[in-house]
Formats: sequence, C-alpha cells, structure tokens
Amino acid sequence: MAKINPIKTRQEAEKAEKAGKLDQAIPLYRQLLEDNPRDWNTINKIGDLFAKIGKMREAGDEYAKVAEFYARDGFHLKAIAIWKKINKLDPSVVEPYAKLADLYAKQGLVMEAKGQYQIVAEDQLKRNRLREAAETLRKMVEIDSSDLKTRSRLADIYTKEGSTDKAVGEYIAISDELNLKGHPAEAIQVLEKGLKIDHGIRVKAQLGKVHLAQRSYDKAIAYLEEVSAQDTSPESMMQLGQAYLGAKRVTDAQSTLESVLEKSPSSQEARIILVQIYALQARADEAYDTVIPLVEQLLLKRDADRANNLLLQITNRSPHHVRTLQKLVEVARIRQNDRAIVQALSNLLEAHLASGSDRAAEDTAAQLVEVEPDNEQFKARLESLRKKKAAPVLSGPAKVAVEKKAAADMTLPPPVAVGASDLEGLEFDTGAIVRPQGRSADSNTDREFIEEHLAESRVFRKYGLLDKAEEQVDLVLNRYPNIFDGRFEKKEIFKETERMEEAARECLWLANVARKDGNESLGKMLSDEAQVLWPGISDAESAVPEAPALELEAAEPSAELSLDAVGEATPPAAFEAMPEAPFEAAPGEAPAAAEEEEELNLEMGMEDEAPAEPPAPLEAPADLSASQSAEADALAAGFGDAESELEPLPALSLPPAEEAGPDLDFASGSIARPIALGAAPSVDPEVAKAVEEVDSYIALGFVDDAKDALRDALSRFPGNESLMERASSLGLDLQARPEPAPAPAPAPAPAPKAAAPAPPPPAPQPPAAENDLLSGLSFDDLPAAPEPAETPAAVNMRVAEAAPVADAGGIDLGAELSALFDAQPALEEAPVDASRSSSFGDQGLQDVFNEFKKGVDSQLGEGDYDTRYNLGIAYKEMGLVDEAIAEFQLAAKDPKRSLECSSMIGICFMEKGMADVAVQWYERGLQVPGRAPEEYRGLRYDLGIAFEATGDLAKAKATFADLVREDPSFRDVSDKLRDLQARA
Amino acid sequence: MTFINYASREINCKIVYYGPGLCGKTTNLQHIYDKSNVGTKGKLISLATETDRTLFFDFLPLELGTVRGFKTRFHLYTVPGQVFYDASRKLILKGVDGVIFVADSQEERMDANIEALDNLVTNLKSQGYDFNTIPYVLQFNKRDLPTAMPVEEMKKLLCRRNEPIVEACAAKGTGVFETLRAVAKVVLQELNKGQ
Repeated sequence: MAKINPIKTRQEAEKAEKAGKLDQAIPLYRQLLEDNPRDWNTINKIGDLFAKIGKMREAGDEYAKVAEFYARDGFHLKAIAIWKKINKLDPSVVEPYAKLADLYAKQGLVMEAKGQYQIVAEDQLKRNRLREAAETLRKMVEIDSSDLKTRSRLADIYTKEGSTDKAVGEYIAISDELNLKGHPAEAIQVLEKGLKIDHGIRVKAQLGKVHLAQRSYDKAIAYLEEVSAQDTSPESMMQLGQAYLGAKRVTDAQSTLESVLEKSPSSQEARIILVQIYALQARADEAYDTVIPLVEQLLLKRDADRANNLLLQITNRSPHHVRTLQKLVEVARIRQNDRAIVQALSNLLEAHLASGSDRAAEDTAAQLVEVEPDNEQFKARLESLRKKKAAPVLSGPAKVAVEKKAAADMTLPPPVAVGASDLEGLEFDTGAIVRPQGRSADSNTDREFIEEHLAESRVFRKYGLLDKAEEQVDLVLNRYPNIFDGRFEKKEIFKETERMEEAARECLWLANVARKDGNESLGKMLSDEAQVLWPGISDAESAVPEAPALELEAAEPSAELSLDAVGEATPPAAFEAMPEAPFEAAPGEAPAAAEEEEELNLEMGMEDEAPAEPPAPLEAPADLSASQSAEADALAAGFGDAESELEPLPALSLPPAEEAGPDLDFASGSIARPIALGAAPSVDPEVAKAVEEVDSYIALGFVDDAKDALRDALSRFPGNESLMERASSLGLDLQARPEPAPAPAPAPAPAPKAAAPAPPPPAPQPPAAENDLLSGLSFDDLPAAPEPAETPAAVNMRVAEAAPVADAGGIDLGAELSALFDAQPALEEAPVDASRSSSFGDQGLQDVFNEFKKGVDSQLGEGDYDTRYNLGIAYKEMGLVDEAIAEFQLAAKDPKRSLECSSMIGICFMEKGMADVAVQWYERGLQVPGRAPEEYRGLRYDLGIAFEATGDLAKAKATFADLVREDPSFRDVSDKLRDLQARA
Repeated sequence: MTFINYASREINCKIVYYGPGLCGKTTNLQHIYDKSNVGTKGKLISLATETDRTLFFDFLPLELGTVRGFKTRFHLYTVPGQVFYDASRKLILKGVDGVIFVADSQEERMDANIEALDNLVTNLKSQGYDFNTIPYVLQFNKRDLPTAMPVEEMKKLLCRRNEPIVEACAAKGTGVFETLRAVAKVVLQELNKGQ
C-alpha cells in the first residue's frame, strides 16, 4: 500500500470535519493511524467524531483503545478520565464501571473503587451471576479488608454457591478484624455462625484464638484441645500452651510448650515463654540451655541488647548462676559497654565467691582490674584474693562473711525499691528527661537519642505512617519510659489511631507530672484534654501517674546509678539508706523485701527495645492496669506463692475487656458505655488543630515555633482559653504584638472542658436476627445516629476529622463499625497540618502536596529506594525539609544508600537547626563500611561543621585537624582549622 | 544553586520547565524519559488531575555520568501550568539551576505565553534569582501546528535576553533533546565557574 502524506491527509480530514462531513473525516483520520497506529490523539478524535454522529458503541471502542494504552503505561488518572468519558456514552454498559473500579483501586482511591465495584456486583447479582459477583466482592474486600459488610455478603454468596471453605475463610477474616478492633464478643458470634456450616477445626481454632485473646482461658482450652487432637502444628500447640498458662495450668503449659519446641526448635515465642517459666521456677540450668540458642542467634544478628535481656531473666531468680553470668560478661563485651562489663563481672565475682571458687573469683577480679585499672577497690580486692590464696584458709561462716563483705565493698550497690514518693527526687521539666538526680553522665547522648527518635516519629505521624511513628516513640519509651516528651508524642499517636481512652490515660499521666513540676496550668490543660478524649474518665485514673517512679526505676540501669557510687566518695542516698543490704544482695539481685517479686515479661527479648539492665525490682504493682494486675494474679498463682508482676503475654496483648471498646451486647441490645469514636467532643476542630500544633511544638522543644503558632492561632481565636493558657505557660508576651484581628463571625469554640459531652446513656438496639449474619452484626438495621450539631468550621471538616459522633440517645452500631473499620482510608487522606510543615504557606498548596504525595505513594511503594532518594532531594531543594527527611529515611532502608541517606538526613537536620541530631546522622554514616575514603572525608567535614554548630568547638577542631593531616587541600579544612584555633 | 554533596560525591542540578498550561512541558519530559537509556534515568513521576493536568510537578531524574569524580544528576521538573497553582510554581523554583520556558506556538496562546513568562520573572525574583543571569533557554513548541505563529514574531514577543531558542514539536520529539542540551551546557558552565 502506498504511503500516505500525513500532513495532507490530516488537512483533508480537518477540512471535512470543519465542513461537518464527519463520515468522510473518520476514514481520513483512520488513514493517519495506518502511518502511526499509536497516535492516541487521533484515535481519541475518531472516538469524538463517532460520538457526534451518534455511533456510541464505535466511539466507545475507540476511546477504550486510548484508555487501555494509558492504563498499560501507568497513566491511571488519564485512563480514568477516558473511561469516564466512555461511561457517559452509555451508562447502562457495565464494563466501564468495572474498568474504573480497577483503575481507582490501582490509584489507591478505595472509596471510589468500591463505589464502582458495587454497581458491577449489583448488576451481576441481578443477573444471578453469583460466581462473578463473588469475584467482584472479593476485589472489594481485597482493597478494603476491613469492610465487614462486604465480607459478610461475600460469605453469604459463597455459602449459597456451596463454597463452604471460602465462606468459612470469610467468617474467620471477619472475626479477625472484629477481634483486632476490640470486639471479641462479636468475633465469637460470627464464628459460631461459621461453625454451623463447617464443623471442622478451622473455625474451632479461630474460636480458641479469640477466647484466648479475651482471656476466657477455659473456653479457649476447650476449643484448642479439640483442635490439637487433629492438628499438632506448633502454631496451634503454642496457642494451647498460652491458654494453659493463662488458666494457671503451668505444668500443662510447660509440657505443651516443650512439645512445641521439640517440633519447632525455631519457635522463639515458645522458647522465650519456657525460659520465663524455668527461670521463675529457679531451674536455671534448664532456662540457660533453652535460652542459649536464641542468645547466640541474637548475637549473630548483633542484637546483643536483647540477648542481654533474655539472660537477665535467669539471673533475676538465680543471681549466682555462673554460666549465665559468664555469658552476660561475654554479651557485655560484645556490646562494648564498660558499665555493663563491670556489672556483669561483679556479679560473676559474687557468684564465684558464693560457690567458693577462689581461683575463678581471682580471675574475675583480675578482669575487673583490667577493665578499670584505676579503680582502687578492684585492685584492693584482687590483691586480697591473691593474698588469701597464700594465707591459711578461713573456714565456715567467717569465710563467707569476709568474702561477701569484700565483694560488697567493691561491687555495685543493688537496685533500690522506689516508691511513689520518690517522684520528689526527680528532675523534671516538660522538655527534659525524667531521671533520678545525679545521673547525668550520658545526658547529651540521651537527649540526642530522644530528640532524634521523637523527630522521626513526628515526621512519620505527619505522613500518616502511624505504625512507624509508634515504633520510633516506643524506642524512646522503652529506654526512658517516663520521658515527658515521649509520652506526649505517644498520646498524640493514640489520638490519631483513635485509641482515645489510652490517649486520655496518657493525658492524666502527663497532667500529674506537670503538676508535680509545679506547672498547674499545663496540668489543667492536660486533664481537660483527657476529659475531652474520654469523657467521664474516672479521677481514679489519676493514680496512674504515680507509676512512673516505679517504672523508671525498673528501667533505669542500676549499674549506672551504682557506678557513680563506685567512682565517687559519696554514694547515692538510697544506697546509704540501706547499708547492710549489699552484703546480702548481689548487684542486680532483688533486695530481700522484694525478693519474691518477679517480672515475667513474655515479650521481652524479642519484641522490645532493650530495657536498661539489670531490671530492678518493683516495690508495688501500682502502675499496672487492672487487667495486668488480674493477669498477674492469674499467672502468679501458677508459680507458688510468689507475687509476680507480669507483662501481657504476646498472644494476649489485646486490650482487656473493659478497654476493648464498647460492651456491645447484641443479645440484649444494650451498650454498656460509649466507645472512643462515639465520645468525640464537639470542639471546634480548627481550635483543636491549633492547640495540637502548639502542643506538638512544645513537646518537641520548639518553643519559638510554638510561640509563632500561638500568635497565629490567637489572632484567629482571640481569647480562647486553651490557647491563652498555653501562651501563659510559654511566657508569651502578647502585649508586644499588634492587636489581634477581630474575632471571625462564628463564635470562638468553647474550651475543651466545657465542650466535652457527658457520656451518652445506653441506647436501645433492635434484636439480632438469628439467621442473618448482617443483621446479627447490625450493620443496617439500627437507626442512624442523628447529625451532630455542627459549627461552621465543623461543616468544613475533612472526612478523617469528621469522626462519627454519638448522639445523646445512643450509638448507631452500623455507623460505629463502619466508621471504625472505614477509618483507615479516611485517615490516609487526613490532611497534613500545613503549619507544621517547613514550607507550606497556604492550605491550598498543602492540599495539592498531599494529593501529590498520595499519588506518589500509591505508584511507588516504599521499596523504590532510588526514587525515594531522588524525591528526598527534590523536596529538600524545595525547602520541604521534613518531607525530605521522611523520603531519605525510607531510602535508607537500602543498605547501598546508607551513607548517602545519613549524609542527606544530617544536612536536613542542619537546615532545621538541629545540629546535635545531624551529628548523630553523620556519625551513623561514618559507621557504614566499605566506602571510598573521599566519601568518609566529606562526611567528616560535615560532622565538623555540625560539631561547630552545636558549640562543641573541641570536637570540631579535632575533626578538622584530622582532615588537615589527611589532606590539607580538601575543601577549606585548613581555613576552618585556623579559624577554630583562633577562636580557641 | 547546584547542590553538591561531598560525602555522597553527588552533584544535583535542577532544571525547571516553565510555561503556560498545555504548552507541552510534560510532553517534553515524557519524550526524554522514553528516549533515555534505562541506566541513566530514574522513574518519571508524573501525576495528573482528572482533567489531565499536571498535579504539583512532574519529576524526572537523569544521570549524566561523572564530573571530576562526582556523580552528576539532572533533576528535571515541570511546573503546573494553571495560574491558580502559582504557589506550587514558586516552590518548585526554589534551588533552580536552569530554566526552560516552553512557549506554545499557537497564535491564540500568545497571551498565555506572555503572562507565564512575566510570572516566571516575578517568581524567580521572589526566590532571589535574576532572570537575566540564570541559565535559560526558550523553546518554541508545537511548531508543527498549522496555527503556529512565525518564529520571528514569537521572538519579538517572548525574547527578553538574547537567550538560546529551540524550535520544537515535543509530541514528536523534535527539539526536545536540543533544548535540554542547550540549558545543560549553560548550567555546567556555571557549575565550572563556581568550582
């Protein structure tokens, strides 16, 4: 075929089109396609022409080609636009809905996708195409696994289809979701329906799991024993073991867990629990033999802190177990922690003396002298042991007394039980670490650690990556459980994850600490906030704040406390207060008064950041929640008379019944009390947002930013009580500023306390229809909650902010569940607080950025490290420093980019004026092995600049001096050094 | 300002494609992306609104190789064309090393071109840059359209500083790389001066 002249042909086509001869124009445009079949504009044009002449099907076919092309090349939004166009041609055709649904799903637009799938599914059901409808509903569930209504429909269709297995799968998934959201009773209800169609062990295993989570141990055991008769897999046996443990059947638990370990030696969970059981029974050898493979594994992974914690569980009960102590010395050496080495060696020395192993004791003392050659006590002790070797041997009690006295003279003082009154002895300010007075050796490092992780948490939280944010803040709280800033950040995370009661508890704790610090106004604000978050929270909850002292001491390394004592003339007061105790209690060992108290932290070791070592005994379990206490009682009974203090079991980590959400009683139709969502206060969201912003700045120590934000907020909400209180606590001089603008037309929002609604009374609820799962879950049958009274600001709230509000009359369960389970996509769309960002000047730009970010995230995924890194640079160049840090942190997961990302994050923190955090990142970059000398040099230069910025001129000078020695021509290092020397 | 990181041994240059709505900025980037070797290009980040307009910015990282031991990257950006995205445009101009103004050759778009160009000058100034000194190339796009205005007339309307001019048809790829090369040359010259 002769090649056409495309220019001429196009001109002819356009001419025909202009003349209204569309029938003629179409073939001419088609000729152009022969020349370039991928000319999508022309195909689109042909579609338009077909549409104009009423040939809708042909038009649709042409558009579909374009849409498919866009979709194939990843231009999903463009493809969506085209499919919408096709849809308009003939809305009765189903295909475009299905295509749109798939594209929306790819874009992460969950609600839009579900809307389209819904149309498709209804059409398929109308045509009785059950299998296709099931497939469509399955897609809906795939993009929103928390949509229980759809899951229920799907299960229903599977049942009708005879696909029992799949139906059961859905019932189990529904129960998982309900259980996860704190509705175990409903989860059980669903499973019992599943049991009607399938009597196999799948449903029973799930029932056992949910009962276990609900701490209904006997019921859990009944189901799980039935399951274990057919299924002896480690997973199901593990659950049975935990149920036995919960039911205080320790022997059964032990034998079950031993069988788990036998079948699955890699089961860390079983191993950890068994170690705990053995340790508490003082079966140190068995505990040691069980734990050691795990310890070795952790050491291989360079996680010596966790290895250390596992071993400490044994020495807590068996402080003289030599093999464990020897391993602890080894672990301490791997950790390169001199204090821990001294601590471990001291304990080992004590153990050798107790067992009369003089030679080993001498050897250990020699090691202590090697570690601390200037320590006179250690030297004296070694000498004494050497002399003793040559001298006549003492016998009987006299020998033991001498040995113990000597050991006590040189070893570290034991941990001291601390009562609530010891809060008096704590240094505190709202931006400081809560710690006992006198411990300040690591204060800079501590602060940097805290600031860095809290800053990261904040950045993650800003992007809605709440899991990651929580990981960061937990790193801080695991090490410093009572750091005010950390608890404040945790509270924010609780709020954003809708865990309102926990947030309220945090508020009460924070309020109490603030009051103890003399900051009554801050205390009041926090108390008010607690009431807003969880109206009617009992005043008795304020007992919680007494706990920090206990927890603090539990987590604080007593080694550090006592090390001070070793090196100083005056030992700590607590040490002096019990002068005889050291003779009886080895370092790390519980004092006599608390000897029976044990900590059974079943999550310890594998899950948590290392707590400080060694764990100090707790005087009283006042800090434990009621549930924990109950569990402690239950478990303690299994270990004789010992009063154990227990952490929640791994598998029992769901909130206790009274915290798990509403007591939703389907049978009676009553609701015992409001759940968090229902209790949302009618506070002006703009004010709340402004207050939250200010609080965030305060928590991070960004006082200037907090003041700026307050000024801005007060200009918008003049006289607002919450804001004024914060202004007062920050010492903000409002008089120095121009008069604020007149108040906007809507009245300022009431103060949170005034706005807090009373807990709604129980609501009537229709009875559940027994044979209808949906009605059993009450998704549809309950009356909708009346619209809450909205302020003008509330009307403009985004979806995520407009959490369902319970009316005074009760709770719409359907709405509650929907809100609860639909919360995730809504949260993802939650707007980032513009004012918190580094550079967004207006909300419009913030919104654009949010949309952009969402689109990027849906297309990239976190694993695209290259693009994440490039985006980090893009954001940094735009001055979006926080956003850049978030991207670099994602990119830093790629080991090949560790150095680059550390460098970039350091640069970003320098831009933020946080040179101390930048130092840490640069130092982290320098730890990356195997890079070129020039790269390290570049990092060290930046490190020097950062040291200089922190005011640590000595380190800056040393850094530049090193660089000058290596290469005096490198950048301007010589000038830098000269400048620093001159300043010195 | 070119960002040089001595630690990661990287030089990152930022080139921004500016111009009125629908002038072909994204098309320029798409062509560069399509025709670049796999090893030298990163992922093209291009998000569109439902009306097929650029959302916030398009972004394409390109690796140019090594300059004095430094891995050199060009980061290409487009700004959203619509006027109401002016805040985004300002933000994207932060840290810019070179600008390509993509002008739409269609006669009816000339007012939009002039308005966008004035906007560029203003926004550059607001970010502390001098339009007269920043590396800059003017591209006359859509030269293949029948309604394209003659080049000489466009020059009269849009030339402000004796800048390099490239005629292009971005949809077909004509002139796209020439434009990029022209601005890259000036940016690298500036970089050399700076070093």
